[in-house]
Amino acid sequence: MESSHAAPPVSPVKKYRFKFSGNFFELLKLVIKNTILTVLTFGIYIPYARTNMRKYLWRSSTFGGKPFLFHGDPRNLLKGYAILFGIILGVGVISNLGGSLFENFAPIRIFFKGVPQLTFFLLLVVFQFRAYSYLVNNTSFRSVRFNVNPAGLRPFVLTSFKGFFFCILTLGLYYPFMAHEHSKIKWKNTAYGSHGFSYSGKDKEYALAWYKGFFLTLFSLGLYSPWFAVTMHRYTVDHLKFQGAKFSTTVTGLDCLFLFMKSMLLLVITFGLATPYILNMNLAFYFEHLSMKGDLNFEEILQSNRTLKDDSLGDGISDLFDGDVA
Amino acid sequence: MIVNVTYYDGVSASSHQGTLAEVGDALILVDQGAGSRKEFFFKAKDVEAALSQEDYLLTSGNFTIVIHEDEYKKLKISKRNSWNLYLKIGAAGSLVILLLFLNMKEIVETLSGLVPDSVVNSSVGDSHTMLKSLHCLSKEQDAVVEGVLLRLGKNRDEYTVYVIASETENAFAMPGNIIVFNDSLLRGMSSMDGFAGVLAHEIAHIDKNHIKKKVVKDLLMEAGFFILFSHSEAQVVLKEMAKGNFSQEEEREADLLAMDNLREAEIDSKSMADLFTRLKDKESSWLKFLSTSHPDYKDRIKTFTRLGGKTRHFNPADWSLLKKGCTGKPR
Repeated sequence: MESSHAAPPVSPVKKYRFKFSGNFFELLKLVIKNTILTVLTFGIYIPYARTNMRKYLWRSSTFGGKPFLFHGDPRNLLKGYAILFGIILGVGVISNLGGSLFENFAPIRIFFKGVPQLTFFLLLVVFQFRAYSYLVNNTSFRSVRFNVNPAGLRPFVLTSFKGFFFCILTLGLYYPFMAHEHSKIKWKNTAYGSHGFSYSGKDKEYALAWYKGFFLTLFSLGLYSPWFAVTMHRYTVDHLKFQGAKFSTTVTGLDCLFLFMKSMLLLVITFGLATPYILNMNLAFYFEHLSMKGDLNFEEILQSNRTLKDDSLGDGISDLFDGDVA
Repeated sequence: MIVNVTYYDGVSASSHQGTLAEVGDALILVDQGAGSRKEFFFKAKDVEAALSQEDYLLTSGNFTIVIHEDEYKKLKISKRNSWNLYLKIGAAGSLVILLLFLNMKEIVETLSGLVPDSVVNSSVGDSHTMLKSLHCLSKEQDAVVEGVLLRLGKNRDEYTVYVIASETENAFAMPGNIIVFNDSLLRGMSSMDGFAGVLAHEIAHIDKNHIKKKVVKDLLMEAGFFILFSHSEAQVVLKEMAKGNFSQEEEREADLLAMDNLREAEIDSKSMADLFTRLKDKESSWLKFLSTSHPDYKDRIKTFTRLGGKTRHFNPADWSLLKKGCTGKPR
């Protein structure tokens, strides 16, 4: 008597899609409202405008059909801008006073003249991480917040200083190592609720891909840059996991090139006024190509009990250096 | 009105089914699943509603309630809107802006008075050092320039005139009572009267404190356009257009004051009219309307077209010497 053993049925790998479904007319209404109210309030409405824009962008972004939400409080942002203004004013006064008082002592005078540059470098380094924290900590999905471990700030700052030093020594060749280190620190310290992300990228691999892309871009006088950007984006995405699911992207260099050309054309024709539409278009593009494959168990994901520090000052600084999402 | 909803309670990422009812100014969410009844109360004013695709998301604290658009429209909270508030802010703000716009000149005057001169003159020392090294007139030519200043009734110690080698026909005033001429402008003029006219125009900018006012206006422009178009490349173009328009008023004022100065000094202003006619014919850019800091040439020609009046000419030998432009070595 023969016995047959049938292979167990293979359950299909689940795929979760990201999608950006922002409505242009809703965006246009929002931009007009933000502009009018910003003018009428002499700029005091800016934090509200930025928060409204983020809320729109976040809820237009979905994962598995469910939207993200942004919870930032514009009043804290306003406070952050005021503190930032105070810092800039203070630094300016110290620099000018010091420069005048020690006019005849060149080394000290030069030191005081250099204070603003030193301050801005320090602010840039510290608040790059804190700006990222602000955006992440105020994002939720299915009512559970993302969160960033504040312990990540110290290694991030140390990496920046070390990176700056080595970049000077190596005439910039150290840059991809620093950038990848920053990326690793961010992902290592980012969690969705009680579950963290895991990132398995290697410095050497990343740097080699970066060098290849950089030099090809240089020798092709910039033509290779969309492929360069896609390669680095893909590297990060391909090495990112959450629970049992892996991220993946299908974006190609050619797609990126067409998107870039379309964006530039619109920008030029409209003198930049189409920027919100272009932002919409770019976000939709990247989201459409992003997905996760594997099993996700939302019931296991609990709200984190980590106390999240509201860091609107980080956002204020980020705005100063124009390194923000929206 | 009771509607079916999906909700997330902020404890975990799992979804739950429930019903939502409106009672007065409150919303009650009831979950009768898993054998136990749970009720959650929300004040309508604490609930934020936003549309995401075909669903409305009601958020309050850690709760997110997802309700289909059609169901949401049955609730009273869907009828509330903040447009009344926006209209009031809009009306008040428009009034303020109108008042500001009508009094912009006085505002700039006041602010200019508050800005210390040291802010504007902070780099005067460096300017003198740099311009002295580029100044290319001989001592004899410098003496001719001083003579023109005296003819215009100006104290020659009060203003410093530098002539530098440049192919761009231009002259401008700088902080520290400095006037700079590009020698190509000098060489392109038909007579000393034209040189005196341009000098009078630049002196008028200094006497009327236009430089400090320009600093204040530029700061207001930068702030204003940053607020309006902070992330848009349109800021660059529109700001230049606006700055250009604001400068025109000062240019007109300088032209009129220069004209008066020339009349008093009995200098013929026809050379200025000829100069602008020549510059007008040279101008070819069809995009000039986008950003021009000076009034239209036709207006300027009209300003300097003198109707009679006594004039005394300069020494032709002096003009022959000055017209050569850069002859001295840059120091």
